Amino acid sequence: MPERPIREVIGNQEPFTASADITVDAAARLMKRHRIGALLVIDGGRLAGIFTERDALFRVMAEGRDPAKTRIAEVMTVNPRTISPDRPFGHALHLMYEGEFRHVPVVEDGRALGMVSTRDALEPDLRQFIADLETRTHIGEILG
Amino acid sequence: MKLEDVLAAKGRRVVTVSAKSSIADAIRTMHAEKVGAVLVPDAEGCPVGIFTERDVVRLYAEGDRDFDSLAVEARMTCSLVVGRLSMPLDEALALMTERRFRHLPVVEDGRLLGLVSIGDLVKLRLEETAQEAQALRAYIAS
Repeated sequence: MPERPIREVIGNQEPFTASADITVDAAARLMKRHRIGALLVIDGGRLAGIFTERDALFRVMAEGRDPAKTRIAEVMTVNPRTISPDRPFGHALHLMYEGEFRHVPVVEDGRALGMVSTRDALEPDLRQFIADLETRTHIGEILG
Repeated sequence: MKLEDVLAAKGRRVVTVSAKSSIADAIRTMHAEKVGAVLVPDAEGCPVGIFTERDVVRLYAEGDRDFDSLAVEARMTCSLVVGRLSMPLDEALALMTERRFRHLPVVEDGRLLGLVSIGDLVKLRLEETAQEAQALRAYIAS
């Protein structure tokens, strides 16, 4: 299990945030420009929700809503599961695995610091998984 | 662990749309099937393209928005990277990391056998690690 604290995973990452009253249209352009799949939605300085490319697809375009007239506050996921930056990254992975979502906002004292995603698991934590497995095999051999 | 095991765990269901479908139809299919990507097979059932939710958001942001009349084949990704049943999980993960994609079709003898996503692989890796840890604990305790 990756024990690396989430604070380290997000590093000095500037959180990709958007105000709750911007349109889906504007959010799509933001996501494209930063090449990201999710935005943290901030209302009154606090995290109000998360808006992902899947929300844009399923809750807006597939439903026939007009992205230029729909505010992200109407279609975002409110009160998403969040995680403290002091938890190990493995906890975030378990949240994603059990909840079947791909992004977890990192929040400290109500302030959004960033976000971790399944993509973060690929490098370097997944390599650590693999290294851990190999170590266990070696320990097994030594003990055996 | 190999892609064959990944497919055994998640199933071989693949959501496809025809090349001539409109992008609007592809979006409706993704929504109905609750998936983030659809494959576009040729007449023999071999995948020739992939179209994902990220493509939709990107096209929309670029102003390429005539989703009702635009065919999927005009905007899908054609240079598909595919895996085989015998491909090790780690190799698939390394490919996804290097090439920055999230979906890998599994093809054998020109036949589409399944589609694995980054989520499937991370999920299995987590399960595998948990099982290894448990086995090691049991071993040490015995």
